[in-house]
Amino acid sequence: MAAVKRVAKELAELDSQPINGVSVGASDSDILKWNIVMTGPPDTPYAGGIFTLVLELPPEYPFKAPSLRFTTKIYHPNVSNDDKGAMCLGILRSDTWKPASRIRQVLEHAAALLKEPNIDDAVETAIAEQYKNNHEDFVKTAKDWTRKNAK
Amino acid sequence: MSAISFNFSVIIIPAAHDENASLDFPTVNQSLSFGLEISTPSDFQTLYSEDSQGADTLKGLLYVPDLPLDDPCNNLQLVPQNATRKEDLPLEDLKLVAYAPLTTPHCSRRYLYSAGGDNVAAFIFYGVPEKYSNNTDPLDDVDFPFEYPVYYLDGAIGQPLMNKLAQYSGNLTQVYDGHNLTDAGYNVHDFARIYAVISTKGTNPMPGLWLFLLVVVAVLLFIIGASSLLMHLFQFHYRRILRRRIANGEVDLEGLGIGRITVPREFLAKFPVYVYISESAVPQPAQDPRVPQPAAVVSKESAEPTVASTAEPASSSQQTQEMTETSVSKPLTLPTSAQPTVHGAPQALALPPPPPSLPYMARGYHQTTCPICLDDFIHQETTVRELPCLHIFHPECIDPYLEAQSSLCVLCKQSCLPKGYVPIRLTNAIVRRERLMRRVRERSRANLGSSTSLTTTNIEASGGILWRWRLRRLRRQEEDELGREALSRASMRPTGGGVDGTIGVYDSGLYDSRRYIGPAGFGQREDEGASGGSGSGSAGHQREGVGDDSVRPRWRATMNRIFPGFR
Repeated sequence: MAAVKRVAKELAELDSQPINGVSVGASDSDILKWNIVMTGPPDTPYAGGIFTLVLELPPEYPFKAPSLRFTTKIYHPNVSNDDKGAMCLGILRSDTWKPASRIRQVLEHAAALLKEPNIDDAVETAIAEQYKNNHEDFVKTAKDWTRKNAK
Repeated sequence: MSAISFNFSVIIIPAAHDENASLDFPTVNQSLSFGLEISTPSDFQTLYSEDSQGADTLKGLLYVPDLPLDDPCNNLQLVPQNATRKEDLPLEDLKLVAYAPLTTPHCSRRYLYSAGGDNVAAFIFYGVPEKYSNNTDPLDDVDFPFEYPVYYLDGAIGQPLMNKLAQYSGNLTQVYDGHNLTDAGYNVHDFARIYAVISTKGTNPMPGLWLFLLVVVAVLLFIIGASSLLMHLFQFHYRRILRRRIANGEVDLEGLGIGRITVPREFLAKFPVYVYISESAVPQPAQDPRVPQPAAVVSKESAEPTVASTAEPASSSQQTQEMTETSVSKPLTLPTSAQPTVHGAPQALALPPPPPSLPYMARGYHQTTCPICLDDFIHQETTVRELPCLHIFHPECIDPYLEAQSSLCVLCKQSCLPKGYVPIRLTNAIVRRERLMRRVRERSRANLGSSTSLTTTNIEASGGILWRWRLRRLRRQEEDELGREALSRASMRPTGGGVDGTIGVYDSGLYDSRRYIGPAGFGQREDEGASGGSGSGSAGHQREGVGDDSVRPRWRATMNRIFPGFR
C-alpha cells in the first residue's frame, strides 16, 4: 500500500531529523495513526506544558490530507475547545492540501501555531477576540490551562 | 339549436305585392293587435333540433299543416276550422312555421309528414288537455330525417295561440280587432297573419365565456412558452460563454465544487514518459548550444514561458526544499514527429520556437524524488511521467491520482487538462454556481482591502438584500449537497467536509477570507476543524455534480426544465 510505504518513510525521516520540540511515533497497531508530543514553546503561555496530539492519516494519503487533533486540552484560538481538540491548519484544508505536502510540514505548522496563534483563522472566535483585545486575560487563562492539563 | 325564446306577432302582408317579396313585412305594433313573447324556459321544450342547421333565429308564418278532411286527427275542438291553413297564406314561397296540437303519436306523425312537404322552418307542437292526448313524445317511432327542428309549447300558452291563429287567417275585415289596424292606416284588403320568430342557441358552439377562457389560456400558454424559450436562450447563451471561458482556462473548475475533474485516460496517455536521467550524471548537456537538442525538449520549452511564470510563484517553500540536488529529466528515446503533441495542446505546435536566450537549465524543476511516494528517482532506471507543467512523477503514483482524484498537478496545482478541453457537461446549475462564486470572490477581494478579518456576517451586512439572498442560496445549496453526499455514502466515516471546491484562489493571501466565504466554509465550521483536513475522510467519493435532479421533487424538476434558471 502506497500510503503505508510513504508514511513509513516520513516517519523514519522525522525520527532521524526530529523537529525541535516535537516528538513523533506511530501507534503500535496502526502506522496511519501517530502519537505526537509537543512541548510548549518558551515565552508563550504554553511554556512547560506537554501536549499530546494524534495525527490520523487517511488510507488515501497522500492524496487526502491527514487530520491533527490535540488530546491535551489547550486554550488556543486555533484549537477547538471541545473533546475533539481539532486543530485548524491551513495546510490541511482539502483545497490547499497537496499530495506533495509532508507530515513534517504539518507538524512544523502546528508547532508554529503554538508560538503564534493565527487570529484571523480562529476556530474559537471568543478566544481570538480575547487574544486580540484582552491579551493579559488570555495569557492568564492559557497558563492556567497549561498548568492544569499539560503537566 | 334549442330554443331560448318564442315570439309571435302579427304582420300585415299587403294584398298587392311583388312576386319576389320576402318576409320583410312590417310587424304590427303590439298595442294594435296580438303579440306574444315566450321566454320562460319552463314553458317550452326543444324536442328535436339539428345542430348543423345555421340560423340563430327561425322565422316563418304560423300555420296548421293540412290533413285530409276525413282524418280523425282533425279535431275541431282543438284546431278551429278557420285556423290559418296553407291555402290561407298569401304567398307560396314563404317560410312557414307549422303549428299543431300534440295528441296521439299517430296524429303527430300525420302532421309532421304533412309539414314535411311544405317550406317549413320549424314545427311547434303544443300541449292539449289530457282527454285528447296521451302526451307522448311526437318523435317516438319517427325516424325520417327532419330538416326542421321541433318544439313543444305548454298547453296553457299553446291553445290560446291556436285560437289566435284562427282569428288571423283572413284579411283585415275578418281578423280580430281589424278595425284597429285599418284605423292605423293599413289597407282593408291586406292580410294579417301571425308571424313566429324562434330564437335559438347552439349555432355558436363556443359561447362567449368559453371563448374568453380559451383566449386567456392561449395567451397564458403563449406567455409561458415565450418566456420559457427566452430563458432557454439565455441559459444557452450563458452556457456557451462559460464553455468559452473554460476553454480559455479562465475558470477554476475544481474550485466550483462540481465533483472531481479528472484527466481522461487518453490525455493521460499523451503525457510523455521518460527514463529519468540525473542531471549530475550528464553534466550540462543542454547548456552547450552545440549539442543538438532533441525535438521533444524544444516542444517542452515552447510551453515554458507561460508555464514557468504561473507555476513558479505557486511552488512554495516545500518544493524548493525537496530540490536539494539538481537533476533533470530528459527524454531517452529520440522523439518522433508525434511527440510535440504530447502536451495535448495543439497550440504548442503553433508557438514559435523558444528564444535561444532561454537556457534549458533555467527551468527550475529539478526533482530528485517523486513527490507522491517520496522515493528517489534512479538515474537511467526510473521511468517518470512529465505533466504539462513539467513536473515529473512515477507514472504509477501520478496516474491513479489524475484519473480518479484531480486534474491538478500535485506540486503546482496547475491543471493538466489541455487548453480548450471542457471536461464536464455544462448544466445551467453549473453556470449559476460559477457566476455566484465569481461574484463572491470579487466581493471578497474588494472587502479584503478594507478589513482583514472577514466573517460571513459582515460580508452579508455589506451587501444589499439581493446579495444576502444569493449568499444564503449558495449556502443552502451547499448544505443540500452535503446532506445528499452524506446520504449517498452513509457508511463512510463521518466528516465535516468533502467539499473540495472553494473559490480556488490558491495564493495564501486570500486564504483567510476564503475560509469564511468559500462554500467549504459554509455551515461546517465546527466540523471542519474536527476532521482536520475536512476532506480527508471523504474517501474517494464522486460527487454527482450540482445539476443533480434526482432528489428534487418532480414538479421542481419540471419547473426547472420549463424555466431554466428560475429558482
